[in-house]
Amino acid sequence: MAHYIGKKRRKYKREYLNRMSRIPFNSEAVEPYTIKPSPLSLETDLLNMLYKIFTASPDSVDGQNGNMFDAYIDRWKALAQSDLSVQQVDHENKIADLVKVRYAIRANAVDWVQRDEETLQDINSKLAETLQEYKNFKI
Amino acid sequence: MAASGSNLNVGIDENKVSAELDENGELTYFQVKSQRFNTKYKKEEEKRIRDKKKFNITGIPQLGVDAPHPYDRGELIDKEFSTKPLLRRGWFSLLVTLGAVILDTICYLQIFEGFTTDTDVDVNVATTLLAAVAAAFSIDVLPAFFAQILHKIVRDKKRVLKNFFIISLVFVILFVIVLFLARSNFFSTRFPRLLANDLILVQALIPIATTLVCFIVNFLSYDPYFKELKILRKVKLAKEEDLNELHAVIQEIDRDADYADRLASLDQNLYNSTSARIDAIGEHYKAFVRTSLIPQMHSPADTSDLSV
Repeated sequence: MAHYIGKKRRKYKREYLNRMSRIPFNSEAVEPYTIKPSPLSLETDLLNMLYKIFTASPDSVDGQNGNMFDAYIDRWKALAQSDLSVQQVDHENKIADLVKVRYAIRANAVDWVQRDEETLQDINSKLAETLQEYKNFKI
Repeated sequence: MAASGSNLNVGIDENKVSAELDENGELTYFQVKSQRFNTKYKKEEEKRIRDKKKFNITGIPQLGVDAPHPYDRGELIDKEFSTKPLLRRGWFSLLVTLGAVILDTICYLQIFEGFTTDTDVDVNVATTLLAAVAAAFSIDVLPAFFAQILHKIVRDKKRVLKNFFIISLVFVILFVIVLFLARSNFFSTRFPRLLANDLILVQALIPIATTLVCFIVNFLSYDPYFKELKILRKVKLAKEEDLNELHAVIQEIDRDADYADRLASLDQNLYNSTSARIDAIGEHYKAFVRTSLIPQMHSPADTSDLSV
């Protein structure tokens, strides 16, 4: 019981801080999805293509150009959707990890409750003993 | 800890602010993601706490804004253990010991000067001062340590009184020896001028008196269990707080049983919305390209080709 008093109390305090830092609070965070390739890059590409068509051959602009742009945009959409699927798998893994961590935290907390209750009993008995000694010691 | 609830867009930029509502529609969680805002908020919060302590009011409407600031449990323990008699305080015994050392140093300086004038020996002032300080320290500080050690060893009241009687007897014997030496021929033949009057007796009495005072004060003020009790009370409080926190963690996890499902559904919603957003962006750019191309068309047939 001497380790609660004096220099060794620092060790106890350090242990307490370490333990609290091991419990991650607010860990339930679902990250937002990102769109890759970005819409900005699509816009830049489209504007470049339009600029080339309008400057290089303005007379040859016809309805078929629209289909070309549509195909390009559809390709971008397919790429973005496939990247989104990859991200979803990552997110599922992260959620599974978070759930595991949560159960681990609970198990850890239950373990620490048991230990702390034992320690608290020790402290209470030591406190009663010290109080008695203090009363005897008093002149 | 963030309460469970749905994410709420509060009308500001979603990337900068996040908030949650509970079932009754009350704000339970609010976080600003801007570092600048957080720093400012932290400073304001610190100022509020500082002012609260300075003016000693709660500042909380539910408790009464002008009501006195309540002590927390640690402060209450401090307050409880600060009510200690003057004699039982550590700094008081230290002060008494230091005062005794200064008094004895002056006393010994006078005695040593008397010796040097009697014997006509030229002694350095610094040497005399050093000898006086050393003598004062040895006669005052050593009994103080001795008293503390004795108080630590002896715990029973009967034995304390018995030992106190013995120590007092030792000091009385020492005083008698000094008196005898001062009155004997040994000193009177060697230091006739010094012992011409009885001043030396008073000067010899002062250190003994201060030593006794130091011993008694340190004996009474030494109180190891008082400090130990305070530490134990604080450790107990810390442990209880630990336990409360751990119970809260367990309860929060148990209460939120559908944690995994909730996260999965939130993630699925985010996936669906992002997927729809990709489609919408694609459609938007398709329309944009068409509106850009139409003015450049040369014939209605081209326009109809485009609109297919």
